[in-house]
Amino acid sequence: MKPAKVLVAEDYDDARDIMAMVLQSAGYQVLEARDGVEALEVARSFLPTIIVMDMFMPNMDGLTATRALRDEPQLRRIPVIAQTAQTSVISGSRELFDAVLAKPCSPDLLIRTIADLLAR
Amino acid sequence: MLPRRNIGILAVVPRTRAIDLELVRDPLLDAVTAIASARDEAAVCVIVRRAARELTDADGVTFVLRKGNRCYYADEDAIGPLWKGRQFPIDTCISGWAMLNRQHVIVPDIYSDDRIPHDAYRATFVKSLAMVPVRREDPIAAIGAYWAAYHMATPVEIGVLQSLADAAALALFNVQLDADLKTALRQEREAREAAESASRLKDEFLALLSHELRTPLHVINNWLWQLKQGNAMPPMILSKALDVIERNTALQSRLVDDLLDVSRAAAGKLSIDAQLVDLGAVCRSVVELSQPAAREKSIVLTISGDGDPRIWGDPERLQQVMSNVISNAIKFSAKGGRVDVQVMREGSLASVVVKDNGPGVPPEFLPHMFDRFRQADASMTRRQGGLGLGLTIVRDIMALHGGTVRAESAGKDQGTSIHLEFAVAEESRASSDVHRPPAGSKQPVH
Repeated sequence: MKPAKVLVAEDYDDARDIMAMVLQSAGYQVLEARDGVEALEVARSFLPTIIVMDMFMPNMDGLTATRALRDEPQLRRIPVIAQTAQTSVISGSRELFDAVLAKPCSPDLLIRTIADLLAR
Repeated sequence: MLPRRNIGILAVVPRTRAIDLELVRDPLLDAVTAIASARDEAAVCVIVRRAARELTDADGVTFVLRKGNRCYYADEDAIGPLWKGRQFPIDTCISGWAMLNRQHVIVPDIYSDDRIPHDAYRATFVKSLAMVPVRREDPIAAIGAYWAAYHMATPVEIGVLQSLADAAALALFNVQLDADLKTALRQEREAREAAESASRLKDEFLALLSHELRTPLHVINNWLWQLKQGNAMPPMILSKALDVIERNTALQSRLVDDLLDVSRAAAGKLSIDAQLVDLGAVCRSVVELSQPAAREKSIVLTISGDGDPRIWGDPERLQQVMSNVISNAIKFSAKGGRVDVQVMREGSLASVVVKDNGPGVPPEFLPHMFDRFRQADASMTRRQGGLGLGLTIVRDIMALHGGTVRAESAGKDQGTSIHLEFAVAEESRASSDVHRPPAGSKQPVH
């Protein structure tokens, strides 16, 4: 079976680097995007299995990018995990996401959440 | 006893113009009703002067307002010009006498009464007058009626004038009350809006603070998890791990230090340990330390200057000031930009200018650049990281040094320059003369 492709959308380089490494260690193939615009482009080109989305990002934030994903027939069914240092920004839009994780978030929790969502 | 001459004149000038109470009762009631519903001082004046003249059949009427120790002839309605717009000392004019003595006054012949400033009357038609105070218990104004021919005001005329005056007093009181109420409501609304705005800024700041503290922690946690997996890790990765953890720990320490500085300054507990400092040396050392950060963004960072002005200051705090200003300039400049630091001495003034060619600052935001919790563009902060407390701390430390700081920008994409000014320490003079701002005090630059 081919490994699941996880798209990590995160503007902070230090955070994106280590999350990619953690997810690779857990056996996933990792795609990376530095903002919401890149996340949409990568999602269209590579059709990730699941997306881990930061909220505060330049150019296009995670909330806007996720709304855009939900409007595209090919992408709307991809599970999106919001991972943010400020969960209050999504308080009114929780239904957009398949899971919400607050930063700091342990890799164990992230990996378990991804596994649960992929098993559904 | 009346003076003889008055009696004599009374005998030769018959009173043909005396008014009848029955005839004035209804118009008086109308006038009082109209005065009661007047909305402002000017409207009260207009109705009073018109009604007073019509009902007393006088040749002229004035409405005089008390302005402290002066009588202001606010309005008039007369056959010839009187004193509209002029002011007289309260103790030299008859309207003042009526106000000070809280009673009406009848003067049938103004030139035989020494309470009247005759010079002021010579240019006018006035021969006789009557004056009533407005608000009898504590007069705020007076109404005057004037006749061109000899006339002794009758009790009915005085009654009419006093009724108008009493109605005016009540109306003016209402006008004042209404104005006070509106002012109070406006002040209350402004205070509430200011409090709401401050509270909103604080909430936004706390949200940002939470974000900025959690983000490096997330990175550190993830690396620690990775390090604990027990897999053999290539030395390069291990070294990167330590670098990243170190950098993110430093980021958090810096946030905590800044927060403590800002809260100490807000509580008035920030202090400096002043000594003679070479300002040029401080700037050069900070520029040196900032070169790696500048290189990382391909920014050219230069320092120039004439002489090395010495000032009284706390070397560590001055280093913090320069570091905050320069790192801000680097942070907000685009890749490939430039930041120039210039240290100058002009007479007794030492100045440092840090100029970047970054995005600039909108003019409306310039005055707020040093405010707590304020940033021009919140999305900029997200990109740049940090809490935006740097310039607030700069302002607070500059104040402790008796110096000033201001920002200039010609607008969007025109870059920004931060100007810092200090008093030069005058070492050559006796130590008692040396300009030394006491720690913790604000002093203007000399």
